[in-house]
Amino acid sequence: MPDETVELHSKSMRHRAAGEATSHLSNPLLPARWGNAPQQKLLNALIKLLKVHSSQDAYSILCHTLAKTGYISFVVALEAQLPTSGSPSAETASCVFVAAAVPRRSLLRCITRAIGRPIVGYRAPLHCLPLGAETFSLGEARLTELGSDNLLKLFSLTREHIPPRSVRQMGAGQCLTMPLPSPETPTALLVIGDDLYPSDLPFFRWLMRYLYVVTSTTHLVAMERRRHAEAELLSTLAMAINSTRGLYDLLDLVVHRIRDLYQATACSVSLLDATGGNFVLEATTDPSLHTREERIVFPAQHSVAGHAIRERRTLICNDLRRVPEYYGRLAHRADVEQFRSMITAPLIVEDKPLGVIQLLSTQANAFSSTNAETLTTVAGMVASAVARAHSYEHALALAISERRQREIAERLRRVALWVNASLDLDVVLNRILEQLAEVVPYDSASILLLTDGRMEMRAGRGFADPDAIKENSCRINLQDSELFREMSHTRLPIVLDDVWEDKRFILVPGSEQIRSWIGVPLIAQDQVIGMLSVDRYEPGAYNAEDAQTALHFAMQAAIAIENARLHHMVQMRAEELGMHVSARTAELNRVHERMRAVLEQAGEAIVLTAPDGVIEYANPAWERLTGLRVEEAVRNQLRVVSPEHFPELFMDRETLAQRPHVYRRAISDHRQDGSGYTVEATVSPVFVTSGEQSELVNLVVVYRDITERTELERQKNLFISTAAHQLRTPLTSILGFSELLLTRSDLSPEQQQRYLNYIHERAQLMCELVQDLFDVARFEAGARLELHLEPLDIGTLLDNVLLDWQERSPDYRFILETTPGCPLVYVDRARLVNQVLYHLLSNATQYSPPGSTVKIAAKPVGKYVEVIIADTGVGMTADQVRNLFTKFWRADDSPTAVEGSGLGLVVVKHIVEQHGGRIWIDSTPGKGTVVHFTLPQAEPSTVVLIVEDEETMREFEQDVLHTAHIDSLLANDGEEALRMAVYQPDLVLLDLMLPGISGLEVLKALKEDPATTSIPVLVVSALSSWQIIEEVHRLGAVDFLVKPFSPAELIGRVRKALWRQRHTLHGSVEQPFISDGRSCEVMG
Amino acid sequence: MKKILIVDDQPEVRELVEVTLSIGDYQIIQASSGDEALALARAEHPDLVLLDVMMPNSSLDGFEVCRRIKSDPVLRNTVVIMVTARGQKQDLQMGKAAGADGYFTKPFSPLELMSKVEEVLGE
Repeated sequence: MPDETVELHSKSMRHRAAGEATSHLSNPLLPARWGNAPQQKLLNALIKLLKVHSSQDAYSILCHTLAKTGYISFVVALEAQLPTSGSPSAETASCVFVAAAVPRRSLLRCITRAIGRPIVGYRAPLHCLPLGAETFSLGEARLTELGSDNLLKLFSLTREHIPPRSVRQMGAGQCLTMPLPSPETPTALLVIGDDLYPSDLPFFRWLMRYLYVVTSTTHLVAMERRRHAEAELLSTLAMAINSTRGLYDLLDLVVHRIRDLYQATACSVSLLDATGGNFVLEATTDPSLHTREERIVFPAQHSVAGHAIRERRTLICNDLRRVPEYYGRLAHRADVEQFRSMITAPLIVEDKPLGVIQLLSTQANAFSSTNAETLTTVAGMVASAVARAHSYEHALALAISERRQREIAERLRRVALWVNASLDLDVVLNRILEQLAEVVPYDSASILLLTDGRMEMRAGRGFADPDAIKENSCRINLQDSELFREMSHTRLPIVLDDVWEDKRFILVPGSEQIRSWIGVPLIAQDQVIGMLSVDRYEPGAYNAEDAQTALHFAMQAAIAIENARLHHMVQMRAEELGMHVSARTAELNRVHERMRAVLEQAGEAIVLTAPDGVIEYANPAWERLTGLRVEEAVRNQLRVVSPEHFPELFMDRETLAQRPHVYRRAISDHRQDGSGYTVEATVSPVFVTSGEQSELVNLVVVYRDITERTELERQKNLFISTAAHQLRTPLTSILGFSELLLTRSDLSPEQQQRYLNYIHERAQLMCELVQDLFDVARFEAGARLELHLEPLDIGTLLDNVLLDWQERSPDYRFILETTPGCPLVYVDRARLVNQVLYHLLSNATQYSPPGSTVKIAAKPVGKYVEVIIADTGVGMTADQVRNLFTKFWRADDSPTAVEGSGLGLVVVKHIVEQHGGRIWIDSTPGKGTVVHFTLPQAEPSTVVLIVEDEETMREFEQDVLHTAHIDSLLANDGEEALRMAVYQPDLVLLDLMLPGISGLEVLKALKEDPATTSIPVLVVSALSSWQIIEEVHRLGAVDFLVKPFSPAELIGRVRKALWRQRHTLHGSVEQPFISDGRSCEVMG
Repeated sequence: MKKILIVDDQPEVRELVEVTLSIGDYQIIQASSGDEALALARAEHPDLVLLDVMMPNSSLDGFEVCRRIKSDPVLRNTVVIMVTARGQKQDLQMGKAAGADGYFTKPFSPLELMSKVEEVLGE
């Protein structure tokens, strides 16, 4: 078999040769190269193996036997993998050489081979000897660093693979590894190295099997024994534990029992203290140690116990002299010196170390691994017991602590509730102090707050004189105290056991009894706002826990204070806001109201529309203008602004926005009732600008009613065209005849003269026309005419005028009728002649057929002279007459309408009225026209209007007045009286008994008419009852004359009334009648 | 000899027209109102009527007179020229509508009137 060719050492060749020579021994498995002696030894060994009690022994025998047969071997047991602190490559498996039969140097080589890598070195702590390795003098070898993973691999490999494949080629050479005690449960490895032949394999396989059997048996036996012992121990212990002894009793029992069990010198249990840094000897069998007052404490760091704890395993020290750590701190103690061996088992429960249990012996090497195993198990139990005992006590403590905690929590909850419920800070703070008292008892406590940089006591409890304390605390600058400053800095409470001993503490006068003290800072919004002070009269009353509790209460207090402050702020702000808001609202309302009022009251119609012109709002003036109702219009979506009138507003909006403009148009429209109106509409677009964007949101339209203005304009234009038109007529003659004169040579001198006259006359006429135009224009502008008044005799004047006219208009007859003795008139002669009479006479002739008569009359009436011009021409209808004066030019320009008279008559009217007179016209179509006008008398005499239906009485009164140089007008009845009254008599003599309208009614009418109201009325009547007299005076009469009366009485009364009238408040002199501008009446 | 009827309510104007035309060889008749004008037209059969529009005294205005002349089969061929102070466009149109053959606005130039008459009447 070519594969089995192996390089051989010379020694092995020899063995082989020998072996093969003696191949026929009892066991065909045995390698032939073995000689007889080895074989025999092996057999002996095998037999011995059957008697072993422990696998360790078995391994030792095995190794030794193998060594004698020429093999280097060792058994390696894998310990639990423990991370070694400090080592960067965390995981190291430590292997213990269980048994070895190799010289040291060979071991290294062997290991190297087994691992496949060179070992850097190994450390053998001297204080521990390998378990059961009597033959192995090296001590415990720990494979660190390199190699352990390979060994692990070995283990894993052997686990995986069945024995036939246990031959490995590792590293430079070969070695054989076999799992022990069995492939299924490998806890150790047998490594056989050096001089291996493939043919050896069957033997080793057989050997393995044998070993398995042996070791399992020994195992079993050993286990059995151990179990038995343990069981016994455990049951004892269990009983002990269950008899509810205290922890120390239990420990005492344990140590004694174990000592007895192991036949040791002493046993002790040491437990770790709270910090875990020290062991405290809690129980020991050694009386010398037990009676000490002080407990023995040794550090966990440098002690075997600590080591055991750290490594979580039982340690055997077979010679304590070699263990410096053991002696360390306790080196000086003789009692400790006596011990030579020690087993230390850690007490660990759920990975939590509690302490150690140690067995000590005065003899070296007193303990075996078996003892260690047992102790480990016991340690486990003890640990549990201790833990349970601990946890019981712990639980007890916990329970107490918990109860307390719950109580504190409850108090705090209550406090929190109050803090949130009540905003009365002082009440809350007091409650806090109340609740605090239940969990942290105190003699006095207070809450101080920093107000304007000073610490002031805000709440206090337990003080005899709280006000004094308060005052005093204010006076002292507690905020500057060292304690407070420290507290503010650390933000932590300070507990003082005795304030008398602490210089930092400032005693407030009145609180000298305080000895123990807790000061807790109150913190809100990361600022220290005050302090909670808790005081007791005995020293040392408080601990950190109390401080912590107080801190919780202090936090609640801080919250309460902060809440109160915030609430106050919020309230103030809300008030401010509220006021602000209501002020603003009021202001807005005012503005709104004002705007509304403006709009509502505006005389001009104002409309607000949407961008498309549809109405949104309109003011009452608009309703009046259009006769429409806003609600209806809005409902019907009336479009007020149309593209037809305002095309610019409906073009693209950007252009519109760029040139925001106001657009004005005149628009004519009709109301529903048919009446028309013209308005000037001004449309303004309304934009809203946000940033750079402008948006059209509304149109505002303001309407100005220009109906009248338009009408006036129209009439003005018509007037102008009419006037211009009128000038054409005389121009025809002027231009025509002058042209004839210039161009024709065939004209006779008479014709020439004649035509020149025509030209001259027409020019003059034009002059007058122009003057009329001027006057009319000025009348309408409101100017008053300049009158050059002088007293004239109307009769003479008329006479002259008519002569003139007769000459000029031979076709007509002019007849003058004047009353002789007609008083003088106070007039402007030129105007009277050239304008008034001129126009009236022109009209008279123009509208009469040639050959007709024009009659002129003048008569005094009251204070005036009335002039009457009557023609027998075409006449006019009542409408036409009305139009003559209501419009100063005719509304229609039909050819058959009256031409020219409009202008002239207006002039006449103005002049007459400027004089203080009146003008009115009676006309009958087809019959003729009668024009009346009055001119003021130059020296008007007193005139009395006599209203009397009885003729004799009337005449009597007239005569009587005449004797007093008083003229009279007569009226027969009430109606006539009212007619005559417009002539402004100085007094009205009124009879009550009248046909038709009664005297009282006349009186009433006279007084109600503003034109006649100031005329004094003297009532005359036969009746004289008191009621009538009262009524008459109530209606405004100045006096009452009872018939019959004497002339003297009449004159006297009249004169008196006249005198009184003259000397009224309004002045003493009568004024001529001033026209009130009313149009004159139509009579007839 | 051609016959010309002058119609105007103002004698002065009539005289002006008459004198203007006196240079020519015409027979002149005058009327001072629309009714008179119509009556004379029917009676005398003038060749030309110089017609004023505004005649307040009469029931017929110039337009009406023109219309009647023009619609009268006998008088249809009478030339009618309006001589009037009313010179607006609508007046001219009304004149045209009434059938006038010409229109003169006052004040007019007698020479122009003369030449117009000659043009219309004489060859």
